[in-house]
Amino acid sequence: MDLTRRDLLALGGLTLAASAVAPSAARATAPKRGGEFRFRGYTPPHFDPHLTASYTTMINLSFTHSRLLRHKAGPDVKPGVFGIEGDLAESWTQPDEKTYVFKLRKGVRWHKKPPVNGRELTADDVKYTFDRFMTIKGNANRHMMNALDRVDVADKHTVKFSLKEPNAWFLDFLSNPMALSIVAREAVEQFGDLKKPEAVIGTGPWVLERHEPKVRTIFVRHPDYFRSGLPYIERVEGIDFNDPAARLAAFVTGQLDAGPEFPGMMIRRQDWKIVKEKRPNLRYVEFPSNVMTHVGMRIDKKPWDDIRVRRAMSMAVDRKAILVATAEGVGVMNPPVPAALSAWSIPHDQLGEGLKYDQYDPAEAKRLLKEAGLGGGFSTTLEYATYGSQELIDAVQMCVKFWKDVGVDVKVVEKPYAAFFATAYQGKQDALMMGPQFPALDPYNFLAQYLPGEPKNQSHVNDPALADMIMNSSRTLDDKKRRQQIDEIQKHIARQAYYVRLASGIYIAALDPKLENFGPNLGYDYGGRLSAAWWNT
Amino acid sequence: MIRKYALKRLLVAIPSLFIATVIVFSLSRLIPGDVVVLMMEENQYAQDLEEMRAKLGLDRPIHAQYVEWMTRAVRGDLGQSLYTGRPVLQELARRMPVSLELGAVAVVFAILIGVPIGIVSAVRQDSVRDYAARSAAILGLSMPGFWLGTLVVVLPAIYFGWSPSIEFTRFEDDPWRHLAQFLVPGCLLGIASAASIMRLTRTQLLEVLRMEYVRTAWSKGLAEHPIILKHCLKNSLIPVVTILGIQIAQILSGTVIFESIFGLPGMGRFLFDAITERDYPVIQGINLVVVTTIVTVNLLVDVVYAYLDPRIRY
Repeated sequence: MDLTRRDLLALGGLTLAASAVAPSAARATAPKRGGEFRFRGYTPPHFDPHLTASYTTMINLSFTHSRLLRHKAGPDVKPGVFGIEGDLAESWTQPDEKTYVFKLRKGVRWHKKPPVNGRELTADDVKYTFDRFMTIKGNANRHMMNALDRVDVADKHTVKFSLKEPNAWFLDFLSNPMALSIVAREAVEQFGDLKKPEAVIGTGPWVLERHEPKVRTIFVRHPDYFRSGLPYIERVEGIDFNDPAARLAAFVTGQLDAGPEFPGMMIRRQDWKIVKEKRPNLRYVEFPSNVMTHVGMRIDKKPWDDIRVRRAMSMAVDRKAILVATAEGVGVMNPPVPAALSAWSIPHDQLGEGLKYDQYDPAEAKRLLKEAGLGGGFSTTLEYATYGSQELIDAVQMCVKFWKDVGVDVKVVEKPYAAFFATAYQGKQDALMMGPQFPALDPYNFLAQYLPGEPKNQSHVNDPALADMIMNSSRTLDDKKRRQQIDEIQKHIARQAYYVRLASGIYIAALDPKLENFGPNLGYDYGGRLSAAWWNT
Repeated sequence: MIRKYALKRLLVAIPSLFIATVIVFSLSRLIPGDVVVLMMEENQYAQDLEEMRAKLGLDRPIHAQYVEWMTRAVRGDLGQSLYTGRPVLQELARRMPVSLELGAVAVVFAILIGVPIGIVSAVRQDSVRDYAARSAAILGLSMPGFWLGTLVVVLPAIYFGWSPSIEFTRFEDDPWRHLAQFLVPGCLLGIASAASIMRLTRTQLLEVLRMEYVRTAWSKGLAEHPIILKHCLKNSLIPVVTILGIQIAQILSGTVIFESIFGLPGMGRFLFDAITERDYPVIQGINLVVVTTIVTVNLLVDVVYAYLDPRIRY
């Protein structure tokens, strides 16, 4: 399917999110074992998932480690939807709102590597992992388990999780490929931590065979993997390669089996024409990106405390023009929960009253500013980092121009990434900040930026009613009810115009057509998605 | 006599090296803002700021830091990479041969192309061949390496469905493939040096060709080949040796680009990655090695120069 700029803009963008192009259906060939899968790999700082938040570590561990739960994968899974299924857990129950009991699969074997040597995984391993996750100093992902009170072993294959309070997102966090891999105590004890490649011992579909920093990482099939017969692919090689032009050349010439761009086997839209021409049979899937760029405003300061000023700032920006200039016009408009997370994001055209504040209307923006006593215009600053992205630089410049058109003179302050990350990204800007947000897989992470005290609350939102709504939704275990609550939250946020949200681009995942039973998705679970795929050769 | 000269040059090299180490040491400390905070925020290299400062040795007076850094460097301890946790020297030892191989191919290519073309250009001065060679040299000097490298990787992929392999092959896995993977990037890396050598060879040879002893050789009826290759070339190549020293420094810096484009895990790519990852011990270590190499190469070039031309004394 070929999505053009006009198609998408005509669809109001969001239609695409609602019907993210499904991967081509798996053909009816019988699974075959063997072959090698080559993708653009990453050299991590180290392999200890509890001592880094680096996606490079998590991508590598997605091949070698299992989690208690995981996101469903396969050609029938719509990108942006993260259904939950058991990974090491065979089943689970929830005796009360604050307790989960997981029954582990029996006969799960660790990789046959010393010091674990292929012994069976037990509930003690799960408890050990979570205890380490919660207590180790320097775990940047610890916040994911804030709701967890303690983990108890009921028997060899049963483990009980007790929460401090009900948390509807808890299972989503457990399934997240960021950091919640189950690790072996012996490996930690032998190596001191899990940083070394030798300490990469999991129960996942592949075993780490060789790691050459900045060259390649090779995984081979785990013969005792608990999903019988899986994985089909014998060998996986992640080739670490920096240069985007060389990566494109390698993909075009068949040296890589999947699109070489982060995140998750994509290609760059500007390369799309060449790639299609050179690999005409390529299988590709397009779906919205969960990277949402927004403008944060210091609501705790004047004039941003005035809702009319915030609405004016939002209405002054022509989002479609930015999309045309930066993403060949292909993208989706974002409600407060990005359109990419289609299971939770409200359709943009259903935002209600708040919808109009996302629409380009410079005349109304001027009127609102005049009404707020700023008819003569005013000056302010905007802090940002380029992230090495020309598209982001262009978007910033265009926003500045749009604001200038309504009388707001914005001086751009460009910061090095690290300085930006340490300041404006955490709401420590003087007035405005602009930048992409963490591409989370659950809505809570996006809603957290409206909670007082959260570092991600870059606009310094302090709206007790909204905070109550968000926290109530986190305690609501009924999915249907929670979805309604989140819809209401998004409408409320849109009305308040706390951030100026821009549109997101559309990813293009590109795959060798002979790869069967594979569906791309957002997130870092490369290994999980590949585990049931095979080569039709 | 030559020994005395070499000793004098060595004595001059020592303060150069000292100044260079001070610059290398100071650079990371002169970066505006608290770099430790930035490194922590971005990469979480340590559990807290104090540990981070201790890791970098920033919890002591600056002169003490320098003395300790130098003492350890002299002993071969360049610290640990913050990103990988491995000793910098160990990482360098693994990557240095890759860069040296790449550099060697570049130097050989530069000499093999630059010297013969320079000779032809000088001997056939103002001919079509001379103009063509000089134009090619200017082109070679003008083309940025990253642009040339990208074109060489991307265009064949688009038009012929071929591009250099992105997988680095170790010598022990396949010696021929290992050597072959350096040919394209090595030649590209050597182009600018070849152009400089060609131009200098031509200029020097033209100068020598106008000297009286050469005129005498012509008047004696000697053939062109012996006059050019035996009587002129040796003398005209002496300054080329000097420029080779400078070219080696340029080639070393060029490895950063070509190793990144061609996926070679050498020192240049190591530096590039270390800058991206704010891995300051690695950046310092690589800079120290590069600076030491350049000072040493220049020292050797000066000594060789004096050896080749006994008239030269400073």
